[in-house]
Amino acid sequence: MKWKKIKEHIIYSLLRLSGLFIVCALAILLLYIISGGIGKISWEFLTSFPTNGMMSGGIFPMIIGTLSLMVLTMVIALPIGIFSAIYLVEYAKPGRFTDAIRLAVHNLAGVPSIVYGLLGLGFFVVFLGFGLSLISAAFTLAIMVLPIVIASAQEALRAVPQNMREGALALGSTKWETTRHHVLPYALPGMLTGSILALSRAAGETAPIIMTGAAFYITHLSSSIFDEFMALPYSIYTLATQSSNVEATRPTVFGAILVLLLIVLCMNLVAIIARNYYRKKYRW
Amino acid sequence: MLNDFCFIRSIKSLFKILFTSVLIIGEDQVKGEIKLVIIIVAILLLIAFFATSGPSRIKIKQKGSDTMLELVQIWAEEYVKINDNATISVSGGGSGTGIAQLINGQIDIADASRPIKSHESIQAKSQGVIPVEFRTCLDGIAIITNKNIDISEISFSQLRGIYNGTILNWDDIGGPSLKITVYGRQSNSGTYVFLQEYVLDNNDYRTDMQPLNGNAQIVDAVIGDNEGIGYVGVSYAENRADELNILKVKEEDPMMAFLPTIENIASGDYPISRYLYIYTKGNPTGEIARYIQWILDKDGGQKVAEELGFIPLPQNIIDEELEKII
Amino acid sequence: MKLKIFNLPKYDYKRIRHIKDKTIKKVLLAFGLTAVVFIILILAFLLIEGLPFFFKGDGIDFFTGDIWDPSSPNVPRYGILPMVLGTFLVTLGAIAIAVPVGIGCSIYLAEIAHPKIRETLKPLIEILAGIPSVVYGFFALVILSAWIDDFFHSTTRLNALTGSIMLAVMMLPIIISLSEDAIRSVPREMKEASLALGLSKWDTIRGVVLPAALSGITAAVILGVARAIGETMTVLMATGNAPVISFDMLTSMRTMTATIAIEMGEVPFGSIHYHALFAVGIVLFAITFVINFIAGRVMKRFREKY
Repeated sequence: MKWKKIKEHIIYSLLRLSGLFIVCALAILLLYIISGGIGKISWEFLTSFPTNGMMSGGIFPMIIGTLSLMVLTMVIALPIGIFSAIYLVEYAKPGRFTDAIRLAVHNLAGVPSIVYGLLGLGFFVVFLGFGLSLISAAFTLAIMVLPIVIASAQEALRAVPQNMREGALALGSTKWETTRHHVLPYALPGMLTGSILALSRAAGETAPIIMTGAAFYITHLSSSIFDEFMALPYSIYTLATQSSNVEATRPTVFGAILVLLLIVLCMNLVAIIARNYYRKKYRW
Repeated sequence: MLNDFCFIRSIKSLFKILFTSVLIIGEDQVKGEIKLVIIIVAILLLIAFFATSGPSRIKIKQKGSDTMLELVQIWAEEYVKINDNATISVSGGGSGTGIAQLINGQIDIADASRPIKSHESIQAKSQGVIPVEFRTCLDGIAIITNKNIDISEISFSQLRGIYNGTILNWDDIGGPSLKITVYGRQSNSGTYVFLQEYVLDNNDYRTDMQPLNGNAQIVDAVIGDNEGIGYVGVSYAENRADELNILKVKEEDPMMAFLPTIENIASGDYPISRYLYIYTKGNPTGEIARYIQWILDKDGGQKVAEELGFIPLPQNIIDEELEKII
Repeated sequence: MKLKIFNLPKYDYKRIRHIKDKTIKKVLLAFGLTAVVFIILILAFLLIEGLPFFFKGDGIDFFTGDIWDPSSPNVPRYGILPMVLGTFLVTLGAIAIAVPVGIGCSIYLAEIAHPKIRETLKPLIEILAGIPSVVYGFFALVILSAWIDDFFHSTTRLNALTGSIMLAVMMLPIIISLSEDAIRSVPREMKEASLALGLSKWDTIRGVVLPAALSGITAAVILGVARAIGETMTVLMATGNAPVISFDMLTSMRTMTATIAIEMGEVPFGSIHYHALFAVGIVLFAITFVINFIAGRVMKRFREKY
C-alpha cells in the first residue's frame, strides 16, 4: 500500500517536472536573447540604416519592411477571412459541399511554409508577373494566415448566442441584416483579436518571404509595393548563417531578434488580454 | 498600369478597414481604451500605406555570391553616397543563384565568384539573355585546417583526394593520426564550383562533406574541430589567422608552395586564385553602366575591395573591362 | 448608431432588401470558396511544375536513389531518400522528446496543477507557440549546438539531434494545448465515479481519464508531428544540411523542407533541378496532407464520442 503512494509521488513529481521544463525552456530562450540584445537597443538603432556591412548602424528599414508586410497581409487576409467565416457559420448548409470547404481550410493550415514559398514564387512572382516584391510576399503570407483568421472569426461568430439571430429574424430582418446588425458587432472584437494572432504569425515567417521578395540590403526605403523589401526575419536568418563577419554582426542580429520578439510578443499579449476581456464581458 | 490597379485596390481595402473600425468605434458597447487602440492601428495603417504606395524606386537589383556579399553591400553603400539617385538592392544566395536569376530576368547584376558555366550560357541565350562578364577584383582561396593539424603545405592532388573522399585520414599526408572532417560550401556557392573545377578536376565532392552556408561558418567550424579542413576566401582566413593553420599550397610536387598573401596572389604564385565577376544582361547602359564604372574605378570600388582584403585589378585589365560599357 | 445608406421610397424598400440579401448570399459563397480555390491552386502549381520532372528526369531514381547531387558536373543525381530519411529521423527524435513531456505536462495542467499555476503556465505556453521559427533556429545554431558539442563531443555540432531537440520545443505547445483540452472534456461523472469506487487520483487518470481522452491526445500528437515535418527555418539552421544516409543522430542530415529552401534560389526556371524541387514539394505536401487528414478523422471521432 505504501509502495503505491511512493509510486504516485514519483509520478506526480515527474509530471510537475514536465511543467517545469516548459518554463525553463522559455526562460533560457528569452534570457539569452534579452541579455544579448538589450545593450544594442537604442533610439538610434531603431531609426537608422545599417552601415558598414551590417556591422554597425541600425535596423530601421527592416522594421518598416516588416510593418508594411504585416499591414498589406492583413488588408488582403482580413476581408477574405472574415467573410469566409461568416459564410461558413451563418449561411452554409451542412452537407458534403460545406465539408469540402472545411477540409480545404483545415489543409491550408497544414501546408508547410516552404510550400507557400513555392506557390508565391511560381504564381505571384512569375505567373502573375508581380516580380520579387512586397505585394507578392504579402499575398503569399495572406494565404498562409487565412486559416487562422477564419478559425478565430468562426469562433467569435459561434460565441454569439442563437437567440439574438432568432429575435431579429422573428422581427422581420433579412438574413444579411441580422448578421450585419445583430451578430457582427458582437463578434467583430473577437475576430480582430484572432487576426492579431494571425498578424504576429505573418511578422515572424521567413520561408515564404525568402523566395518572394526579401532582400539583404537596400540602399533606400522601398516606396512601392512592387519593390523588394528588407524584413526582420530574413535579415536575422541571413546574418546568422551567411554573414561575412559573424562576431561583428552579432550585436545587430541580437538587436533584430529582440525587436522581432517584442513585436510578436506584444501582439500575442494584446490578443490574449483582449480575448479574456471579451470572454468575461460577453457572458451570455 | 498594374501599379495603378493595385493602388486603387489597396485604397479600397484600406477604406474597408477604416469603415469597419468606425463601426466599432461607434458602437456603445466598446470601451474607451479599445477605441484608442483602434485609432493607433488606423494611424499605423495610414503610415505604412503611404510608405508603400509610391512609384517603384529600385533601379539596380544585384544578387549572387556570398563571398562577395559584404563587398557588394559596401559598394552599394559607398556609391549611393556620391550618387543619391540610384537605389540598389543587394542579396546573397550564392553565385548560382545570381546567375539563375539574371537568366530569369529578375535582377540586373549577378555577382559570381566563378565564371558562368557553359550550360548556363546556353540557357541564358535560350531565354534571350546575353550575359556580359566583368572582372572586378582578385580573390585567393585559402585552405585552412585546425591549429591541431601540424602540416604546413598541401598539393593539389592531396587536396583533391581529401575532397573527393579517397584520402580519409590526416596521417596519409603527414599529419596526426586523426580522421579528416571535411567542410565546404553548398552547391549554389561559386567557391564550391570553382574549387570543384579547378582543383578537383570535376570529381564529385564526397557525400559527407559538411555543406555550410558561408565562408565565416567554415572558419568557425574549422576553428572548433580538431580534425577539420575547409576552404574560404582569403580575407576570411586572414581575419582570424591566429586561430587557424593556413596552408601553403602548391600545384604539383616539384613546384614551391606559397602562402595566400596579397603579393603571392597578385603575382600569380599562389595557385588557387580567381577573379570575382559581375554579369549583366547585355552591355550595360545608363545607371547600371555608371555604377559599374565606379566599381572599376581605382578610387571607387577598387579601393573598397582592397580595404576588405581583395586584390584590386591592374590598370590594363580595368581598361579592357571598361570597353564593355557603352 | 444606424447607418442608412439607402434612402429609398417605401414601396421599393422591401424588394431592394430582398435582392440585396440574395446577392450578398452569393458574394459570401464566393468568399467561402476562396479557401478551396487556394488549396487547389497550391496543389495545381506543385503538380504543374513538379510532374515534368518525372518525364524529363529519372523518376525511379528519385524514389529509390540514395544520392542527392543535382549540381554534379558529371551525373546529376536526384535521389530523395537522404532527405526523406533526414525528415523522418529528425521528426522521430522530436516525437521521442515532445510526446512524453507534452502529455505529461497536459496531465499536470489539467488534473494536478493549482489553478493559479495553470493560469500562469497557459499564457507562457501560448508565448512559446508564438515565437518565430527563425528565432528558434538561431538559438539552436548558436547555443544548443554548443551544448551538444560540449556534452557529446560529436564531429559536428549541427546535427539531427540539435534539430530534434529544437523541434520538440516547437511541437510542445500544440501537443499540450490540444491534449489538455481533450483531458478536460472528459465528463466529470466518469472521474467522480472512479474516485467514488476507491481508486486513487493517479489510478483514475491512468485508467479512466487517459483512455477516454485518447483520441484527442492522439490527434494532438499527430498535428504536432505535421508541424514538425513541415518546419523549415529551424531545421535549416540546426541540422547541418548534409544529404547523407545515416542512422546516427549525431551526424548532419538534410530534410526535404531545407532542400527546397536552400536550392530554390539557384535554379533557372524550367531546368530539371527546378522541377525536381517541386517534385520534393509534392512529396512533402502529400505527406502532410495524409497526416492532417488522419488527424482530422481522429478528432471527428473524438468529438462524436462526447
